[in-house]
Amino acid sequence: MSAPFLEVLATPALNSVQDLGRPGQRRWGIGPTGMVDALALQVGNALLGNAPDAAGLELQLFPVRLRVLRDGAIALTGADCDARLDGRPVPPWWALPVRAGQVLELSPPGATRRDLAAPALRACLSVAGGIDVPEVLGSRATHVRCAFGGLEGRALRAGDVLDAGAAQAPAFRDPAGFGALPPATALPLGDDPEATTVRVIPAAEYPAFTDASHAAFWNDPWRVTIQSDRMGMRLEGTTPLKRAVVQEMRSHGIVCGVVQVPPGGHPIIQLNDGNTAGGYPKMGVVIDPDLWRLAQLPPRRLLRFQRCDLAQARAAALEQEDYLAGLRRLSALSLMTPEAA
Amino acid sequence: MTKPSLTPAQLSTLAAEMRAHGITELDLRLPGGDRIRLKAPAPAAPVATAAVPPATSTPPAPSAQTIAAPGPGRLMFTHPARTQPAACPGDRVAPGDIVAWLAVESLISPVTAPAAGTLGAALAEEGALLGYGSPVFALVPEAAPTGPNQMS
Amino acid sequence: MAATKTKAAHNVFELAAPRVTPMGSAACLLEGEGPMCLPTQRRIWAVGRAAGDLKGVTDTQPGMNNLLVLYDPLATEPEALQAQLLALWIATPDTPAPGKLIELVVRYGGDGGEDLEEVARKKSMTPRQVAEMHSSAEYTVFAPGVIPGFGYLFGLPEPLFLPRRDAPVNRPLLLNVFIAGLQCNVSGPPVPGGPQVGPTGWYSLGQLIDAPAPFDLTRDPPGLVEPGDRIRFILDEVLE
Repeated sequence: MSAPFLEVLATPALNSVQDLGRPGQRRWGIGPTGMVDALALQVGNALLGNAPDAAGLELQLFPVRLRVLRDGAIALTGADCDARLDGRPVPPWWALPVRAGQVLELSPPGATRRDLAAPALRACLSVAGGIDVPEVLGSRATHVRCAFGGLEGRALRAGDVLDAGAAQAPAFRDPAGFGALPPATALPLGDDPEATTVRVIPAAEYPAFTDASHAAFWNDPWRVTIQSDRMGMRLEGTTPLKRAVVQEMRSHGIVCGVVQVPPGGHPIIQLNDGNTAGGYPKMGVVIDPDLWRLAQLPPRRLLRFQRCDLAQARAAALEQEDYLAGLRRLSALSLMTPEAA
Repeated sequence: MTKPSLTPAQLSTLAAEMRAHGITELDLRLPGGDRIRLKAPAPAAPVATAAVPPATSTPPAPSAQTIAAPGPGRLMFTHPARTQPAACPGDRVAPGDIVAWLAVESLISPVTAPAAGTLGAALAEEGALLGYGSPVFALVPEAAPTGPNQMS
Repeated sequence: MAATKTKAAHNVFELAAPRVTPMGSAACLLEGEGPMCLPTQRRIWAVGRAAGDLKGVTDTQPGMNNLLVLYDPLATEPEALQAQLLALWIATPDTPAPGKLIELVVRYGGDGGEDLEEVARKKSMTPRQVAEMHSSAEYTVFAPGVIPGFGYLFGLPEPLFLPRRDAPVNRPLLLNVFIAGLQCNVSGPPVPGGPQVGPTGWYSLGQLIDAPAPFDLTRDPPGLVEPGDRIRFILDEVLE
């Protein structure tokens, strides 16, 4: 059973209820949507003992202020927003108990703290029991372009009241809560501190690009432009990517992380709200276990591509699963189940 | 002199501040007209390193003067998502304030201040493996807010 | 229309043999050989239905003579799945797929048909000639579209072939009729509070009038059209 749990006191546009997405609906032209940093949501859910796919709030614009309406528990993961609960600092990647009447405040990442280890973009707020909105086509994710799912098919706004699923929140052994080793620490990748590295499997049209394009793709840093949102991110580099033989392509299904190259030569990476199909040639596709790294790329941040194959991608997926399984096992020890409390 | 200008707790706080910031001499003129001069042995050895307990040592009993590890783990003064420590010697803390973290595999537990006061020296090193009750910070508790002066 | 001619005339992508390539770590793309045509597409639909039953497969999506297959990489062997799909393709014959006929009324040009004049200019035709040629053909729904709608349509008369634009431009997404390459599609429909324009490399010829809702969550199934359905565009007027 669920009951009102959070009231939105203030939020900019573009923050929404998201879960792990809406698979299996491509025959209707419906893409995945869901939390762009799906790993952050899974970490938050692991800390709270939620189902892995319980819905949370994706917060990508700030400041955000929320009032707690009922005693319970929350987790904040993803971008470090210098969160304050009734003025008291909440560390990043953290789960803690909350009481009715408390106010949670999040600032733009890096605006109030100058000591973030790396730039970040999107925060995830999980609640014990998950945000409870009606399921549409098997998911609670907001599909903003089609105006369904989430809270009335739209982004959050002041005055919204969100229900949470758990009638009884888990009890914490320490009222200060506990947290997760951030994925950037637990699953490090790349050796350029100025850039984020992601692994890419070459795609069908990779051989059609010139040698110079191949070299630039793997060796150059690519800058994220401000033309970036939940649909995708456009990149800029010094060497535009060109095909040796230019052919008119056929439209085909595409996935999150696909690196498409329009004729201008500046790649576009597709994200969760992007189209389900496209027709630009594909240099490659960022592997699923690295999509969370893309989710945290703010405009102007540099990105590097690291070549990868299916076996390495599978190893990366297993490594991420191990990290999450460890968190689920260990957080259970930091929580007392409602029965035991 | 009917009452001292500074309580012992306040003196300890000052001493901790001096240690933390490498100050060897302090000359204070107080509002009542008194003057206090504090001197530390110089050069000050890095306190934190000197105080690191061996991993196998018997943990000292937690006291009001120490913030102790609530459980085992690898000590982190700085959260891995950040570059600055959660708290530094000389910081005033409230009960429950997080002053450091302990990592066990991928899980992070808080080290919190048991009482209001001022942080003294760090008593363990970043990255040290601590056991339950291992000291993390010295804590100079705040004087009882309404009680009479202890020296009067 | 002589589809085989388009390769030489327009340098259109065409494979001599089918192939399956990775689409990242959790999907792969099966592409049929030969020119884009209906018999190949009927095989794509049939393989898509069969692939849905393979171990670890989570979704399939037909494209234009191709099929995207999504899978859980920890529930299957990706290389083995790719081989299975190729074998399935080779073993699957052209299967008849009767579809329903849907008629859509179009106002060509004007607001919502921003590119009609540019297409006419590039083809040395009048806007009306472009509209008449576009509405003379019967189109087959080859694949679901980029968002819920009428899908990717095959059947564009060959003289209207135009490569996609080099750089996407913003165009209205309000049930507009677009063409690019040898493909046609209809954008939209608009949603309350949703974006009214979006970036596209396609050319907008016109806008639907009094169109049936292609997607309605209160219907079961929610989508109006499915691959194999046929669409006729009825020319209402041409705004110049």
